[in-house]
Amino acid sequence: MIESYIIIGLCLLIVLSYFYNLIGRYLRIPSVLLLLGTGVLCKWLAVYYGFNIEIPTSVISIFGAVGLIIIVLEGALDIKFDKSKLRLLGSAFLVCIFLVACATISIASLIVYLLGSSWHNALLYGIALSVISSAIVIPTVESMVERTKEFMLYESVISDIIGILIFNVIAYNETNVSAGQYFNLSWQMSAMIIISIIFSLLMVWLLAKIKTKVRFYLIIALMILIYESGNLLHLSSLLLIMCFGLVLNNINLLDKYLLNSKSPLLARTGKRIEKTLQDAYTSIEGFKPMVLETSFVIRTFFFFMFGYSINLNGILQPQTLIFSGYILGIMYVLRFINLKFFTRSHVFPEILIYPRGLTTILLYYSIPQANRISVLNDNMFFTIVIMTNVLMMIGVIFSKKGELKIEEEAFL
Amino acid sequence: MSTVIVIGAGAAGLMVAYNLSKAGHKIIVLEAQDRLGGRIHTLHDSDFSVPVELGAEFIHGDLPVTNELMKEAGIKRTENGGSFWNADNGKLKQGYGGMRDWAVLEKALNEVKEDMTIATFLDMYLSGHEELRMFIKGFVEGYDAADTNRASVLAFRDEWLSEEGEENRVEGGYSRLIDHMASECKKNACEINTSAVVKEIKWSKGNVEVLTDRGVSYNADKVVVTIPAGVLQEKSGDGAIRFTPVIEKKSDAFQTIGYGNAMKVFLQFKKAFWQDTEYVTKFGKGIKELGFIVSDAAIPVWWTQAPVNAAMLTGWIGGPNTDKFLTMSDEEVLNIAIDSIAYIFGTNKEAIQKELKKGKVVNWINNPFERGGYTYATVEGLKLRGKLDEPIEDTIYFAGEAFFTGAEMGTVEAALVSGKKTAELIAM
Repeated sequence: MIESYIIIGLCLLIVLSYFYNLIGRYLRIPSVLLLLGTGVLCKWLAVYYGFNIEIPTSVISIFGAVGLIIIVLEGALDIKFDKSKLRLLGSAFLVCIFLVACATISIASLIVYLLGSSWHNALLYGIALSVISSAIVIPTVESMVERTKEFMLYESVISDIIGILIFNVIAYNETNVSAGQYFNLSWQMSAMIIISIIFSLLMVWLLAKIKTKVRFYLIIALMILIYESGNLLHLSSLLLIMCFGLVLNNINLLDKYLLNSKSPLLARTGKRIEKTLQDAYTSIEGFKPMVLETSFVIRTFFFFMFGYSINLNGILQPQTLIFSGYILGIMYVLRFINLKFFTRSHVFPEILIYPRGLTTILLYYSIPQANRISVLNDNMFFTIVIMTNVLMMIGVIFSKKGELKIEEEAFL
Repeated sequence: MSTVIVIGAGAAGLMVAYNLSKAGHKIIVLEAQDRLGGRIHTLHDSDFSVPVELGAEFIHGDLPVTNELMKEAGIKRTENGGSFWNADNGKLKQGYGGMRDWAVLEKALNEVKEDMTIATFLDMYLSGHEELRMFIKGFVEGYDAADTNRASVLAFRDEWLSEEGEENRVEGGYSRLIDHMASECKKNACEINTSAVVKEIKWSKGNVEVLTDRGVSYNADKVVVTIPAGVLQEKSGDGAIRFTPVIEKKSDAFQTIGYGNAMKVFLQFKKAFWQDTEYVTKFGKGIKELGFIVSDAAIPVWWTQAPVNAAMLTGWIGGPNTDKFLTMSDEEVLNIAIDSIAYIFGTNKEAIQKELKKGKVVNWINNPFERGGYTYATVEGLKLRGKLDEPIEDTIYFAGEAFFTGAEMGTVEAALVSGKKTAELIAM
């Protein structure tokens, strides 16, 4: 009986989420806010009627791990290598690293100064609060000139990926990383990249060879399997996911390179595997939408669960508001610097289009218990997500028509 | 399981945090300084040939809780070595000096029926033994950092008549014990914040709000205060904590704790100059194994790192004798230290200065979060023995070497035992 209610509840939640997207687009309210609100309301009703069901932390962790994989995969599937775009990709990468590093270090410094937490713990929180939600940025730059658009697209995607990768490296390594450990870490990363490329090529081969209709979830399951095994061994498994996405999206380059190669051996090899690559290429077309849909489901559940976990009294505490205020201040000052000096675009309303979303919350839940800082709790993250999304809503509402084109995904 | 805030990350605070976090409690440790350890502070400086113990240095005998912790952490101890020397009137001689009248002291101590101050005891029982009286006064002030006009003779009798064990050092430094406890705490999801100076504790039964100097507030079910007695006794000052509502009776009781200062001077030489032929000829072969010197120099007590040949001398001043150094700069103290060494070894200042590589001075009273070295039992304090650390409304708890009631007063063992006891009380 209870199982039926749970299934009905989950299905209703997905239906509601679609509905929120539609009305959100019409009313210009981010569906993030609506989903969080639904979570809060459900918790209030549950407490009121005495059905206070706690969501087990293990469920949140599982959703968290899958969520991170999907975000990285989704981001990597957006990056297409092209000779003419390499420069753009490079500069986007550098700007992004610089901005994520600046925001992370600024927020971590604030945490260390006010609370006296260790740098290790403060950096984990700093990264979680510094990554911008690419799912929101990408559609908002649709109307911009092609080069700026591509730059911001790469920047936001890289921000997500880099943020998550650095977070994982810090989270799974000792507090005081010595020079020897850094060497060990870089060696480990290089080994992981090589393993990842080999694994990715193997996966592409699998995608091309499996002729049954069901294959994408087999690939996803294999990836999660490798990811979690890697985590158990404290390896940077997300690198593998990123490599897989990049290889998948750029497999045509290998095809082109082999066929056009002057070396007869490579050209012959190219011809021999041409069919496999073509098959893989066709299969990939179906893979992208599936990742997108999965990402939608994960978002829906995570924002709902996050809203459900919130204690409303805690949000109204002066300390929560003051801390959130400090962090928002740092975030928007850096956003201003970015717009004014790096992207050289309008300051308003773009400055307000800077929301924190799923990646921030997923990373927050991924912070190991041993590294938690009690003052920076669910309530503070909730306040920051809500505030940044409300500010984005204001930015969208007050933007001149045509200045910003917001697609439905912008509100996801 | 409750949320407990532990104020102070010294030996006692970390022991509380370690035991309670292991039992599943949510622990937040707030430490005022930017490092852990409190009065345990091992300095690793390449200018010194060994890790320098700025605070606690020795393990005095066979101590069960320290032993257990060291065993668990896989930390070894090194036995102290070297010969004992005394230097009165500028004459350095091998041997114990005034301690030869030990039997007289033991007899007098056994005759005491009621508690009294050490000063009264010396007047009443040892009036004819001037040398022994001076030795005891010097020992109580120097070794125990105590004021003879307040120190309890019964408490000191317990300490002096208890069996003395071997003196040891912690291999690699005392801070290794602190690091071990802190890392175990972190494994148990314990939050440890440094540079978090607690200014106020607002409390009601089962509820505390702890406020720091940077305006951050922490909420919990209970709080354990493990700050040093000297800071606990302060009404104002950087480390002082305000309780709201006030805990008047307890605050008055804390004033009965005796708390003395300790100063250490470290002189690192280019080589162990006292092993040179000049000094061997002057003092005999025994000087090569120099371990400990008690003298009448301005800085009276010195020791080497024997059996490790480290070319370092550590000078010690305890109790009221540190008062005259209060307003001095480190440079001035180092000058006096060099004078003292020259006086002890019967040579000139330049000869010592020539051999000196680096000097360092630590005066614990100047640290606003320590305000001194360690506690001693007073006559009025002994009457409250065992009651000082009684919790207030099962909400505010206390721990630290000041609350220890056994013979090893003022030691790291005392802090560890007290921390363990408080943790057990909360976990009950």
